[in-house]
Amino acid sequence: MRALLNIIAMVVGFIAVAAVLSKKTPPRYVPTVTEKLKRYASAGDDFDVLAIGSSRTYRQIIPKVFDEAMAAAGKPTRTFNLGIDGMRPPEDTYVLEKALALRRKPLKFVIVECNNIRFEVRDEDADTVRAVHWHDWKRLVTIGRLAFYGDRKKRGFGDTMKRRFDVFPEFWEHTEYWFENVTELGRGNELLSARLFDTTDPKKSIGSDGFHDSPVRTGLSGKELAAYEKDVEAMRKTPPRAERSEWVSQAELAEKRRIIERAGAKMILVVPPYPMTKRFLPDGEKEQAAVIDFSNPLEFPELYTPEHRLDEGHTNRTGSEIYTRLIAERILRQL
Amino acid sequence: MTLAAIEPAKPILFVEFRFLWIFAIIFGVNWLLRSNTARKVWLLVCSHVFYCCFFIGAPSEFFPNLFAGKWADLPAGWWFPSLLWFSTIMDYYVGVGIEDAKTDRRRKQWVAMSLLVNLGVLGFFKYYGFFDQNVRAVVAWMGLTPSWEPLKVFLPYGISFYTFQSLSYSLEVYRRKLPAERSFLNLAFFIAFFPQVVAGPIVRAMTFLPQTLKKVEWSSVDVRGCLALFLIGFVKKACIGDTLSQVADPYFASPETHSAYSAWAASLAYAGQIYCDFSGYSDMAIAVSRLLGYELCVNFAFPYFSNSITEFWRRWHMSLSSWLRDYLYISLGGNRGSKLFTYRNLMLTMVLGGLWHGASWTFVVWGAMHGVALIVHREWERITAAAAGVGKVMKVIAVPLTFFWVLLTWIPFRANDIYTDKPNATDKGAKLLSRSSAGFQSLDKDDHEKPMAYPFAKTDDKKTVALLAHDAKTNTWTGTGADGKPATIHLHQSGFALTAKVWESLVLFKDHAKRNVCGNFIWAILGGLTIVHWLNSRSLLAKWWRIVPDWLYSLLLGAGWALALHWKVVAYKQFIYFQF
Repeated sequence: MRALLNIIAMVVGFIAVAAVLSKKTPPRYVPTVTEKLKRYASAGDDFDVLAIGSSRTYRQIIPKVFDEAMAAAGKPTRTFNLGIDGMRPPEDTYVLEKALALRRKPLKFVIVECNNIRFEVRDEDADTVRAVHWHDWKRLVTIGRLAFYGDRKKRGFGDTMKRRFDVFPEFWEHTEYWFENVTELGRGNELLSARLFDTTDPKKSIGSDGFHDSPVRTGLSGKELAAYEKDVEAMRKTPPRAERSEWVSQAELAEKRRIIERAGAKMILVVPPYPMTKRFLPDGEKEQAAVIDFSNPLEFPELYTPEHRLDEGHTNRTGSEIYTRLIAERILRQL
Repeated sequence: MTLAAIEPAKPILFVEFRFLWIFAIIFGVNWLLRSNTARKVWLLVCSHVFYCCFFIGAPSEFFPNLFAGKWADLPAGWWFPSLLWFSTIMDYYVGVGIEDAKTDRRRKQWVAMSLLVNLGVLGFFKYYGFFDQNVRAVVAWMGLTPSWEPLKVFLPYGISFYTFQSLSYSLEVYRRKLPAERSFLNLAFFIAFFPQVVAGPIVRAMTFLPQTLKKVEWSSVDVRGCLALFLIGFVKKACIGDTLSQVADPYFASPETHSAYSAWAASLAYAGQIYCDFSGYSDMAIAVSRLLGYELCVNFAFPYFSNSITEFWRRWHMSLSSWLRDYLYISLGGNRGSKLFTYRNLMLTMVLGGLWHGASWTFVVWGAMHGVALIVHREWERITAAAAGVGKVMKVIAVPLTFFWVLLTWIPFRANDIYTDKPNATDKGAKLLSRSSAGFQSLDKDDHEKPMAYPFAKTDDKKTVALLAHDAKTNTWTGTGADGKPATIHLHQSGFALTAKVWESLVLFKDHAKRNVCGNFIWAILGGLTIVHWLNSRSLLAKWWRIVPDWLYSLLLGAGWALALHWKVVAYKQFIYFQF
């Protein structure tokens, strides 16, 4: 009985202090993410278009070019680029929720990079605040669903258990991040680091519209260029297969659509141009028809030409300008 | 969707959550068992499983591959845990052999075998690469090209610690200070006991083996002290040590691009880091061990407040320094001879102590600097013994002077160019390293994940290259790249050049550049830590929590954990001493 009381006292002490610390400490500083949301918040409700996704949004959708194209067609917009390197569902939904909570006026539309959920934490993000920040309960449930119920193939008991056992360590990693996030572990240390070091990276300066400019030059040469050309040639012969992926990614996309529509905006799905063998296909014919798909090099040769590429996965400045104009053009057709 | 394969097992750190779960099971079962023998068997099994976790990688991949005989698919070094068994079995028979020997000659033969085999295994894994490199350098200096293929040897975790531990047993039996242990279980348990097997403290057989004979009662466990000590160790490692490393690491990566201000900040931070890292580990190991009913030796006693370098070595890594004193210094003759003879012994002990830490000339320099300081201190004591007034001055300057010398010695210790392990890898490399195992293996793309007896470096394009031969004139290393092809790397500077640069900044306040590694807040942190440390050394913080009621203590402990977890780093670094 005494031991139990002592344990209760310990838990009370822990929770009380953790609660006070949580109230008193500012939110986590997540490189790029915090900076972007800060920029977005400071501009108030000036922006009416959002672009969200990975580096293929961050470095390829140029708000200025997009707004000029839209204005020229008599549909003026003010766009903010909320793309972040390596951001895929469900992190992007989390960031989108945060961003939409910062504004009062409705948006016109949100350009969303069309991706399925990434289950693994990127190596470069592992054990960093970037991996921790988006792990709220909702996202953990999504990851859990994907891990244990994502595959609806009929399997035997043994096979099912083996599969669950196989994915458990990765799921556990997500659980640890969730625990770190909700208990706000290490936040004091982050503040300390912020006082000790200059955490702003001058190389990654973010423009007021959230865009990160890419060099004009092409970064492809030698072996990389040869590999890229081979991949694109294969895409020309066999265009990427459209795949529905698993139901959890579809549910996640539907949730994203709900959030966007609640903000009074329309969701525009974009498949960016890069070497791939398959692309994510949303459920529903109406939704499928609305996807702006740049995955076919025969249809968009200018986006795949090596002169317009920074690397295999990204366009350079010139390629990004073309890409942005093409998105504007396609959206105008849909409006 | 592609689901990731199971991640290879990481070495288990005491600061991780998963250790808490594992320990909860070990602890619970240990105290549920009634018989002392059953507890020892349980702890022995747990200790070996714990140690295996450092080597076998993901169990779901390891065991199917093992049972299918797919040897090539097993992680390199998966068999290293057998070395621990080998050492245990051999020393068991050596101990019995010594005790049963009819003649002194036979006793000597038994102990010589223990020394030869234990040190031979340790020497091979730890120093083969170092030896090979130096021979290659000499051959190259003679204008010849080395024709033999280098053997890639990786360092098994904890080998330096458990080798010294098992050696202490055979040496004590040989010296008739300890009867041979007839119970194999007791000896195996002593050598493999998991809290100390990977990074010490190096427990003596004389201290530990008697504890295995009597049944431990739960009522004799100082739970309050253990929980407080574990929390203190956690704070030292996860909150202080790893935070200070964020100051030290970028500076030591390129001192030539930093100011003298940075040199002081980073060197002091490193002094704090290495103390907090290692003493934090020791505190946690001692606390964990006590919670299971066993006492380990104390490893640190506020070493930075020492009045002299001699005193420093009585307070720093006490289990190693006393081991070296008792089994090396005294065996060499100690101070039973002329002054020069004593000084030779001192110097040899410290240099070998330096080499124990790692196969690198910078560790030799570190040991030699301590050796010189010990000799100078002895001479100084002799000269000033009769001089009046000197004592008063020394009383004031002794502690800062000793600390300054220790600080200077930490520079070659930290700046070794012979990279044997993670502290010198990039952050990503360090992370990968911590998820790996070690063993014989040809260099492949994952080699940077393993602690290597060969130094390695990262090229500008982040490729890992094992460094096999060094050309001192051009400071160029030739080696093997991750793709297996020969590679050449021009290092920015050798460990010695790096040491010289830091010393220049520390002693002459020379700015190599204007860049500061961190803001002024570091001084507030270091100042605060020094004050707390000093108060603790005066026992001002040590007693009050013992007299408060249980519920209040529990409440405060909970609050303490909340604070500690709030101030811990997001990503832990591996314990520095895991590499030794």
